[in-house]
Amino acid sequence: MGLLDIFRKKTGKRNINLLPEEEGESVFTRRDFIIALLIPVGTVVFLGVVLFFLLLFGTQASLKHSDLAKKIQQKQTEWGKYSEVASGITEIKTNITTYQDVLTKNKNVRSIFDVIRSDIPITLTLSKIDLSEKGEVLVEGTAPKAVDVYQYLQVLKNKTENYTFVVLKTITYNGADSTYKFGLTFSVKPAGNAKNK
Amino acid sequence: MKADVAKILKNSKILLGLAIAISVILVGALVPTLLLPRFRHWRSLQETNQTDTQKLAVITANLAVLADQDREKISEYKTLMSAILPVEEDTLRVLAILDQIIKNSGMALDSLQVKTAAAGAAKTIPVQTPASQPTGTKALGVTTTQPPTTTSALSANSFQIGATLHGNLSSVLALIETLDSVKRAIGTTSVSLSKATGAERPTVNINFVMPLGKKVAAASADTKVEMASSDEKTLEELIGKLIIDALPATSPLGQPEPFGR
Repeated sequence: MGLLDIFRKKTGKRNINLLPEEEGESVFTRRDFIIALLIPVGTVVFLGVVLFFLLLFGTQASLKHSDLAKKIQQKQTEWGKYSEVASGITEIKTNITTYQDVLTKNKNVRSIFDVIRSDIPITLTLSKIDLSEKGEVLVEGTAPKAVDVYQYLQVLKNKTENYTFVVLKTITYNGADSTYKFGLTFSVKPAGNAKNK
Repeated sequence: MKADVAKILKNSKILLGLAIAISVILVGALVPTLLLPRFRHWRSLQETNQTDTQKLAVITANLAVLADQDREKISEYKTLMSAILPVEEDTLRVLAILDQIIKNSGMALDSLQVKTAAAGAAKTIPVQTPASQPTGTKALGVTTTQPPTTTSALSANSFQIGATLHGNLSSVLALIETLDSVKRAIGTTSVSLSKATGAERPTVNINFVMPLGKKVAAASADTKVEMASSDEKTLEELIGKLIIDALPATSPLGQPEPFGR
């Protein structure tokens, strides 16, 4: 008899129990009571089992923790013999990184100037090149014709892999020496960072 | 009353409902007070153990690595790195190095300007620097001119020197390339070349930055320490490559007339 069948006892099925009706009812009531009692008891037992395992696992973890702490303590004591070498290595590695950054910075400056001078038309004469820390460049110079400045500006604008934010700042014609004075600003990427043409 | 209880007990649905209600109350009362704290404690211990296991593994690995390290080599590398990146400002050493390499590059030195993070303001150095060669003292032909514009903010662990020179672009690039052979980290932050009409050579303003090294007082045992072979290779290359340095002059001491004859 399943649990659900208990509830179906009054659904019209015939009771073929030969016991007297009163005694039969008493048997059902006792069974219901036992089943009802089993639910909280079962819950308590289940919670008890969970608690037991939690205590067991907790104790195991606690023992492992003590063991690890002891081992770490031993290793820390041993570490004392090597701490100076360890700090030396850490220091060396930190400083190598800083030094390599410095070398990269210098390489980039050289590379930027190589890029800039490779794109200056031969007709131009520069009077100023400023390279800022951020890679921003100001170029000033003179050209015999406006088309020479135009050529330079176009070269810079077309080489987007090397130059960005190209702006013609000033352009004036000087009648005294028949030259155009110009000023350009742009940002330039080091050769290594630019795409190969 | 007794009859009511008996009636309730006879009703199986009420009885079952009551049993479930008692179970829910038990769960509600025991789980948060008894089980959850123990569960949390166990989980916390497990996490701690996991961390400790990793820590132990790192310390064990570190000890194995360090036991194999050549202490003399490490000491040699440390000395090299402290020459490249000293912990304290070595202004005069850097000035002496720059004096040497600028003159070797064929450019004329006009002025040198030191800017330290602590000082905050720039100061021009019209001083004698120790010679790069230990045989005598050389004077810098320093005059105060318009200092090169310093655009960068100095960090606390670096100082800058601005140099005004006379030379051409190729000489400037050669000078910057020479910095790779100097036994002191000198970085170039900004370069400006300008040529006035009629001038023979452009005036060059260069800003150099000298980072300072970091002193590691004590390495933590649970942080991985390893000297990679690539690091060792780099250091060995540096030992052979970095040949330019400056030492204090070793002139004889004692001047009866210190203000000159």
